[in-house]
Amino acid sequence: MKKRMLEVNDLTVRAPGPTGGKILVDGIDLVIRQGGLFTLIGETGSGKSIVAQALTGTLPEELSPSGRVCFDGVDILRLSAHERRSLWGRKLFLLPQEPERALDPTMKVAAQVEEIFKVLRYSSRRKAREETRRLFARLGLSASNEGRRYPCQLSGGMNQRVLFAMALASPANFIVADEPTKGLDPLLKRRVTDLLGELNRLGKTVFCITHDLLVARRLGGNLAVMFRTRIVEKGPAEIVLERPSHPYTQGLFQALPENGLHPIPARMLQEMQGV
Amino acid sequence: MFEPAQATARDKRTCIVAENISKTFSRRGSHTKPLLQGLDLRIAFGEIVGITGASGSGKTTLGDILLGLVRPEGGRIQWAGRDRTSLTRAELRDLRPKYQKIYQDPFRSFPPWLTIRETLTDVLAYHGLTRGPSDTERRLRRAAREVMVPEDLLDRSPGRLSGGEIQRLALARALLLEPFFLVADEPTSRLDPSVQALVARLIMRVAGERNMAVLFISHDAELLKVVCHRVFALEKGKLHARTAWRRT
Amino acid sequence: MSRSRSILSRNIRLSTGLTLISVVVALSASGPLLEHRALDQNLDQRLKAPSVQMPFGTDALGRNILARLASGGVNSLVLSSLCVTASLIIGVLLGLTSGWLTGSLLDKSLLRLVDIAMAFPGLLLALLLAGLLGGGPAVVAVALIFTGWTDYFRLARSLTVVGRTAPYVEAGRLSGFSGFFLLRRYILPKVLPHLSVLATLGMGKTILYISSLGFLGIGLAPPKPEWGAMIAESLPYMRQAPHAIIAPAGAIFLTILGFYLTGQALARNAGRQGAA
Repeated sequence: MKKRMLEVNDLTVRAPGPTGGKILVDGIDLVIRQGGLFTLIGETGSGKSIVAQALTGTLPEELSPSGRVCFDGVDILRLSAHERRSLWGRKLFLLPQEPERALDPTMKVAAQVEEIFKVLRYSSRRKAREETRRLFARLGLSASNEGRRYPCQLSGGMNQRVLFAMALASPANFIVADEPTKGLDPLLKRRVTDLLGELNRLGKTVFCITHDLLVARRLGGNLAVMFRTRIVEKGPAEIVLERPSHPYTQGLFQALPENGLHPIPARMLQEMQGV
Repeated sequence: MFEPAQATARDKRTCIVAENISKTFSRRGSHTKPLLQGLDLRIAFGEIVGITGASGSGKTTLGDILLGLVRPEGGRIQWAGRDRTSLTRAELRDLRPKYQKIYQDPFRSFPPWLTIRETLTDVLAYHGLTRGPSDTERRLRRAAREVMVPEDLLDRSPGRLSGGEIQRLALARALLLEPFFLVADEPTSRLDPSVQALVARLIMRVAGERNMAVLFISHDAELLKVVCHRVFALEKGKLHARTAWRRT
Repeated sequence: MSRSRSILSRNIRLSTGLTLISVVVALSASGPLLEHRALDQNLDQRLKAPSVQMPFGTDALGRNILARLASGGVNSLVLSSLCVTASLIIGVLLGLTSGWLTGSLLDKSLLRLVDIAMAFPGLLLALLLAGLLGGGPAVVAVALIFTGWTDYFRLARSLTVVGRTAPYVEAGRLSGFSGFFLLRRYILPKVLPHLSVLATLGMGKTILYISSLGFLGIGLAPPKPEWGAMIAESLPYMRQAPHAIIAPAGAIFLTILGFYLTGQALARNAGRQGAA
């Protein structure tokens, strides 16, 4: 058994409010092993993104989390804001939803990747340039062509790949991707999904949040299904996706257009919430 | 006000016509590439037409041209059987609200500091569609019911709603003006499958009940097959017919 | 935690700023009551050091400095709020229009006008006008408004240019709303918080300008008290009676500090709102 990269015990997050506030995430337990790939799927607004924020220490201050989020043996929830910030880029890397907004618009993209080598890995300028060229080639970009452009001159898909190069360049071993395929066309969606798999094969531990069942299927690894603040089902992706046991997961499949586009009836949702 | 019946006899069943539309796309003025090249499209009342295509193929631009938000470089748009450029200012003012849109990111289509009730009340009040506060209240409740959203959610600000709720309320806002035509620009691409099914089914129902023409833009070819009467792929500036499961 | 510390420091800024402003306002509010005392000369009491009866002492003509500070405060505050309000109104109205009609002839002409207005330093313009028209508060106001509205204009314009591309503005346009309605309902609420920050900072800046002009002898005609003029009058007696300079200089300093701190605290607040 590989060592545990991330262990979440009884993570509960409450919204601010008079009597403790509304529960946004309710008693989540998760284990992600070193080099593993974990996908969290579920309802929009079920608390998926809040889980991701808790894992990366980017939870808004007004939310009060309880429980434990052990990352590499350290409880993130107990760290100060400054200590948490020092993890970013060094220990964990957050792949943002909109690549255009995450890149520096005034800097050529290759230089942005080189900067990561220089700042976070203390590489020499020459080494940084060489490593960047290698990474770009691996991701199907050319350092001498696309690398010399600014983010606004590249397509969304290319910027996405630049961000993946940054993830690979950083010494962080834990990559969190919150809805990486949101709003992408099928071709790009498949490419991004495959890139995430590629990151994983190259040794990074990947935690991916998505509402797209096809992305989850393509990624594989371990999977958990979240519904109304709780995890209702988890296990290896192929098993959960082939033979879902919870009515919500089953309902998600029924709702896919190819299975008839049947929304889960409101009555059933209420019943499930009671379960 | 224009009524669909006022359209000429030949176009009575046709809600919106686009003929020979062309549009080039320029980025930073450096290079231009043709986006739409002599594109034709007609949509009948009550019909849902699906458009799919890769990112950047011009789907959203096509929708915006039909809505009169973007001016095409060539070609004609007909609203209610009349060439859009031949409409007088007054006619245009009357017809404008009949051509509506819902967005991929519904959160950003509402001003964040107003409650949904305030935004929707603005729409009714501006067009004088209400006879007083109690009438406004009645209409808002009916609008919320039509899109299956609990009435108390009207008092929330956009940020305190889920993606499915706010998209349905965006539809409700569009429906307040009793539109002839609706552009649904990837309305479900940010929703989970179950909520996607809910919103897509809702659009199908509303289009049928209100005899409204819909241009449904999506990346999801499977979704379009179920939702639309006709499906086209937008490739190299032209529309190419694809199979749809629904009967016209 | 760094966040709570920043809230704390913001609160300290805000409360210090507001306290300073209220002290100045309270002092000035008593100005009209003390007006005759501010003008009463008493040559026996020239350049007296601060005492219990006269907390800030007297000036070269034996006038009560505290009374003169209070009385001068009214003039500065009234004049500067007048200038700031007028600049704000002009700047917002023109800025919204210009930003909404970017690239139009009106927008281009307004931008040229701003370039011209910004090329004049306010102080020099006031000196020029005073030379042409004679002194007086009206001249000061005209000069400060002419050079002051540009800041509000530029901020309002750029916020409008950004704001009008928001999807909810497009949705509003599709709802058939007129440009005027969209500006009032969808753009202005986003613009105002930022402008109120600028206006608060502008109050401090304007008071500094008024005092500088007073020091140079433009503005209210003596013997009416004005902080800048008070410094100028007491300059020859700096050695014998430093308090006669320190008091008005301190008043100017603390007033500007008050507005500056308040403005900074508001700016953080507006930034937070803008980000949400």
